[in-house]
Amino acid sequence: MKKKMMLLVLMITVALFISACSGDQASSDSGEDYPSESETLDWTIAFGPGGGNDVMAREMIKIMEQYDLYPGDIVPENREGGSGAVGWGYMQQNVGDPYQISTTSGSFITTPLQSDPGWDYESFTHVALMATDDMFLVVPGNSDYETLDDFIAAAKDKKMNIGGIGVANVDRMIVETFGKEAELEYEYVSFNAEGQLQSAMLSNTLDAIVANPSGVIGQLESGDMRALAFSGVERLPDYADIPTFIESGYEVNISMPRGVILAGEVDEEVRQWWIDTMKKVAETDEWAEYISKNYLSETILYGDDFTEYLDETTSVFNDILSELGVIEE
Amino acid sequence: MRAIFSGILFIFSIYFTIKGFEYDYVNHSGQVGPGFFPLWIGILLVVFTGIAFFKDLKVVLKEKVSFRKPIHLNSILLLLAATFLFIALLNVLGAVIAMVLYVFAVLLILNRERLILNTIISVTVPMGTYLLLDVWLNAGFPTGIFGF
Amino acid sequence: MDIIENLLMGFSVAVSPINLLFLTIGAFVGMIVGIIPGFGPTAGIAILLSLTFSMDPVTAVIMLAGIYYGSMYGGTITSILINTPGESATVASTFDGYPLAKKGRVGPALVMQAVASFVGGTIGVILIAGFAPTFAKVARSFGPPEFFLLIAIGLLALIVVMGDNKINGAISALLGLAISLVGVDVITGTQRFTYGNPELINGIYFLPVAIGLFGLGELFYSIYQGQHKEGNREEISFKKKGEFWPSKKEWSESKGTFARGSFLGFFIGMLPGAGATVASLLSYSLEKKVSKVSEKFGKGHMPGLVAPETANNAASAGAMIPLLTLGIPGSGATAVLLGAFLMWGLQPGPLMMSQEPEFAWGLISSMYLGNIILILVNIFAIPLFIKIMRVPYKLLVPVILILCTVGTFSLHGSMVETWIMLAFGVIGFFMKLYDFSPAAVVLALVLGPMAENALRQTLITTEGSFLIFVQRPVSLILTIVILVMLIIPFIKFIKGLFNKNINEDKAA
Repeated sequence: MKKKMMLLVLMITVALFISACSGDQASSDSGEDYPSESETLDWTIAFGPGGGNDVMAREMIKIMEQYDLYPGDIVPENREGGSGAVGWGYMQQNVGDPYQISTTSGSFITTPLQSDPGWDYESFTHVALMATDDMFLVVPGNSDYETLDDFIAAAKDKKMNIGGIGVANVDRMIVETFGKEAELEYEYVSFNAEGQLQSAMLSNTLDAIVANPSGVIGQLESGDMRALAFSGVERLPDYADIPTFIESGYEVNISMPRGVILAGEVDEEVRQWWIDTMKKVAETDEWAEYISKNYLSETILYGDDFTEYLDETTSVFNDILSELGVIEE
Repeated sequence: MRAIFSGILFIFSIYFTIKGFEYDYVNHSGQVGPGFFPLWIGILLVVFTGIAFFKDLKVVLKEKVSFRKPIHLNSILLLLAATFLFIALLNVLGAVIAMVLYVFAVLLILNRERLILNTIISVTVPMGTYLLLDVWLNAGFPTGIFGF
Repeated sequence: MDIIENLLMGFSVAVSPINLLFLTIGAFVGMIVGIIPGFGPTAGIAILLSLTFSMDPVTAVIMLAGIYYGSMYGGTITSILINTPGESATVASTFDGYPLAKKGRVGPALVMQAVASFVGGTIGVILIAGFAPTFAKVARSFGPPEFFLLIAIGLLALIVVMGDNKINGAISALLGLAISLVGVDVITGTQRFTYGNPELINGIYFLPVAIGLFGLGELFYSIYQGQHKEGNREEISFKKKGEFWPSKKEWSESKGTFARGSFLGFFIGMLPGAGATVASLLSYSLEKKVSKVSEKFGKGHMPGLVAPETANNAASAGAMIPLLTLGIPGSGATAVLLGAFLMWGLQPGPLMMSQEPEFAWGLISSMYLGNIILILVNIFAIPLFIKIMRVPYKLLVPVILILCTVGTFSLHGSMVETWIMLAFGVIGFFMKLYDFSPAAVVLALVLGPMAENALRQTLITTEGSFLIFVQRPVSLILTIVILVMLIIPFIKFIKGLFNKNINEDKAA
């Protein structure tokens, strides 16, 4: 009797200990009763509050709560640092836990190319690409370049200084592919803050910049800046007079993936559940409003299509960056 | 002591400069490259820390200053050790327990006489910090093996 | 007059009971957040932004203005009380603020700091209201070449800050520059001194370094001196009523400083990216240069606190110029504000002042109201802070330690940054002990990458030519300022040699 009691106490202690140690991991069960109401969904935001990734994640959570798409609690956590290395590293530590979810952005591809954070895009379960960030090529309002052709023609005898944010960023990929496609004389000048980038162009130090639509709309309206081309597959509805690179004959379509991922090695049922849920999110008016308010392109890919997109984008980034010597092969 | 500190700075400067040679001095278009500043800042550091080091060394050799142990060195070393342990155990014990133990340890080092007061402070200060930073500002304190 | 009309309109928007309530809450909340080492205006606004999402945009922005000013004020309080700046713009406030507190003049220092902020803010608001469109042109002419020259002036001003031991001062500044090189090179993407560690890719953030060097370093040094063995620190008590308000002498000493600091701060704050750090640093060194008693600086001289405080507040008003007139964020905090504008469906840009005048002027006037509220909050809060300083040091030690370590951790939730903070705490102790300049390390760490990037951006666009620094009008002016800053000490040096020779001749 006494022995049994001892054993029981021991077992309880061990059980408590294990459950405390491993958190939700122990509950990694089959997908049948997924998602369980009693499990809290841990939503990793790999960047700080107020940024694009943060805003998107919180918008999704708002929609899911509004339409009761997830039965339990959803807790967003900003796990920022090391350009996503910290946040997605945390996801990686919770391999197999179906209650770990996160949203992606450009660093999801570039950070593992530049350093070894212990994960890359293949370490996770890909649910859906929900939107992409596409960019404008912008020139000063008082410049002579009215169209993309003017700009390209001028760039045959003058070296163009084109600015953007970051060295291994979507901004740069756009400039490099455009430069190659259009056979420009150009130099990419990298900045790390939007304010300095824009004032560099307004002070006539740069000939053009690539910029997020939401950052320059005010300046476009006032005539201080002029957009020559858009890097999306289709034109932006609100700026339908600005042509895409593609329709002008230049294969420039590299974008920042705004998608949803789960921790690696979760059950297929769980992935399917999230694909279905994200389909519902994408259909809401709120999501459409979010897309248009932030001037994103509605590029939606589910499951394997998303994986394929990530494969492709990663190899494009890898090729350009190693050609430029930013990363070693 | 002074010479040891400036000596360490001197060695660091030399290492920094050598490492600085690894980066390209000019970039692909012939302008100032990523290695330009590391190299020049390194060289200036070597020069200045070199001057400081030899000056301090001269003082040591000339006056034969014997090493005088500062009076409160023990307190400083103990505090340093406590802080080191605190940061190291933050993820293991969880922020709340680690903070309570840490504050208690610090007070044990500095204020050994008044245990009751110490205990009160070691509970209230961490609780206040926890409420302010974690509950209110959502700082995401680490939870340890005990689950909180 | 347009200005008065506009401002009145702004006030009529801002002054409603509910707005005033949120302004006060914002100011108070901001102050508490600002007191945590590492949490300045940028972090404060970013964290508390979510509180404002459900509000009406005007109320929300008014509350944010309150948070902005409150956290800036809170950051200065720690600079004065425990020598730990909450952000880079208040590093210069430690130079004389902390010595003042040590001399027992906590009350006057805090009052003067609030008044200085108020004056800087007032002059800033008047300048925005009156001349925003004119200044927009100046901000527009500011590209990488001008930016580089301005930062270079800031780095030159470090010499004034370094203290008497010039070799150690130079080592300190160079160390700061060396640390600033860690991380991915912004121009080429080369990784420097990162050893493949993803936590180091973005470089070493200055706040853990500052909290370590200043907060922990100062704490270790105080214990080294045996401060924890003293009971109640009588010298910091305020027994007499006169110890609350600054003395007549302190007021009259600081008169000119108020004006110079405000105008200088505003103009520098207006330039995108440079902001309050450079402004406060230049203002301090300018005051030290023009002062007849420059040897008093750094030892608890009131103008030494007034100079950076007027300047950094005027600069934060100045930073609104590019934000409101060009839609370009001039500082970290205004960048977060810009994000908030977008979220409320406002389109920042050159047209905002004409399209959304209520909002723009409401923002400007609420910044001003924020200043007034803070002076009031201040009067109530100062006795509390003085009481804190009367707590025996040994009991304050754990509080400071917890705030430094946990505060650093909370910043990004990074263990690496927490370890960096501890390492710099040890380094800071030795720097203090052996007469190095922690301030030069931190400021060089902040300014170094700005200077490097701007110079290299400039040279890429000019294909290596330095001529651009004299071809553009604003560049030319800045180049001349630099030359003057370099030549004057040189002339003084030659003169000194000359005089010495004469004296020696006479002696012979």
